[in-house]
Amino acid sequence: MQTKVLFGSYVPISSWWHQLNARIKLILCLWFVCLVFIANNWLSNLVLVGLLMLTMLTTRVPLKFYWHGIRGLLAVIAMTVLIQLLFSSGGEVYWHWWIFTITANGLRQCGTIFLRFFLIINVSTALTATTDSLSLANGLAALLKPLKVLKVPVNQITMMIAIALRFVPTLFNEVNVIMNAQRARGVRFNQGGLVHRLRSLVPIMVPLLVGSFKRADELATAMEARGYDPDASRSQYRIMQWKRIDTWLVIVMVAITCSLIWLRK
Amino acid sequence: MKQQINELTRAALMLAVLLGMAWLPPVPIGIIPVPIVVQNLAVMLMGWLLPWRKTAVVMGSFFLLAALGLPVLPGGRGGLSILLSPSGAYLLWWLVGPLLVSWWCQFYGLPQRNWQLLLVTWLSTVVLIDLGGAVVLSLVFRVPWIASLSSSLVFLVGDTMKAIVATAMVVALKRTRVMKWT
Repeated sequence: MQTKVLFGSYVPISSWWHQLNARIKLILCLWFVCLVFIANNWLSNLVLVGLLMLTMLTTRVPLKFYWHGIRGLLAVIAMTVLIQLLFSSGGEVYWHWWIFTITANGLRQCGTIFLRFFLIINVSTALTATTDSLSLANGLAALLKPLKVLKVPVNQITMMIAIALRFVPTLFNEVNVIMNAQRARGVRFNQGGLVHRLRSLVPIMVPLLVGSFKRADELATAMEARGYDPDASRSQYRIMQWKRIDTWLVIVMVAITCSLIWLRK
Repeated sequence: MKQQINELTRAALMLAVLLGMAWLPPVPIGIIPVPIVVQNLAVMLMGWLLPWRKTAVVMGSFFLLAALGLPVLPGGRGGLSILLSPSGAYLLWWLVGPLLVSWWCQFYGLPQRNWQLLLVTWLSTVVLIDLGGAVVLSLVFRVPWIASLSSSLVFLVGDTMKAIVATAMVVALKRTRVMKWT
């Protein structure tokens, strides 16, 4: 059950967004986030909202998933908006007390911040709803390749992320086994005060870490036995291809970018 | 080369632990409305368990996955919006804290005294993260120093307790064979 939760942000519906390879979706998502910070008036923001609505509808993901993405971050949004509201300066002062001030400029910035949160959260939800974790990791690996010029160990990062994503469900199962074993020996989780709860993490974490590192050592031995060399270049079983639809999407984004730059004040 | 693969798989498993701990429920405190997040306990431990280059790669990968929107931050959240929010002011220092611990461990060796373990952990992953977060909160989000320091002090108590628990874990791990590899 917990295993399903972690990767549960992926919504297995068939749509053409789902069939796109992860690399182009990552490029478009990051591009959109940059556009959010380029837009600085109501007309350019309106273009972005329209583009986002079109994307959300064509993913065919139910709207409750997008709402779920926003709801989880309401506290973050509220905190940021509140900070902006109380500590801003400039424009007409409506209210003032101690170190807090509410100004016209602050109110306008609150609207901008809320809109930007809305745009970024929803485009991020659209990305994770239409792409499973391993595809995201593969897309990320493709986008990281230019960093090889900077001596970044891209191959190892890619392998590390793939291994980590594979082992998260295994570790969840192990945590459940460890907790049940410790309960059988008298440990009470979720009881007592703060100190007791924190201290009860030790009988979970220490066996988990020891087990993880033993598993890591066994995995390293198995990988070496199969001829793995961290520094050598390797072929790929999972291959992503650039298609005509990818080209068209880039053209659309270039056109929108030019429009926004032209619409800027 | 075997050690290289070993480091790689250990870093991967440590990243998996870090990702999985996002889903552990936070521990509520009766007095303060902010619950204590358990995930940065793994951040505290990581510095003692991995060489500093692997620590940097793990935390960097963690932030990449978080930025993409995977639900790997405390409370099962994720996305670029969190990293750009006031919470990001504190998360930013998650990159730096374990690195300092790793550097200490690599150049001075594992401390012999338990209070040295606690002191290094506390300074690198509690004081640095909480005060560093307050600094970013003031400079980037223009929050007055009084407000940002006050909010950091709220976290300081819980984080200190976590540092004590992390030190207890490192002491327990020292008695196992996994630490002798370090």
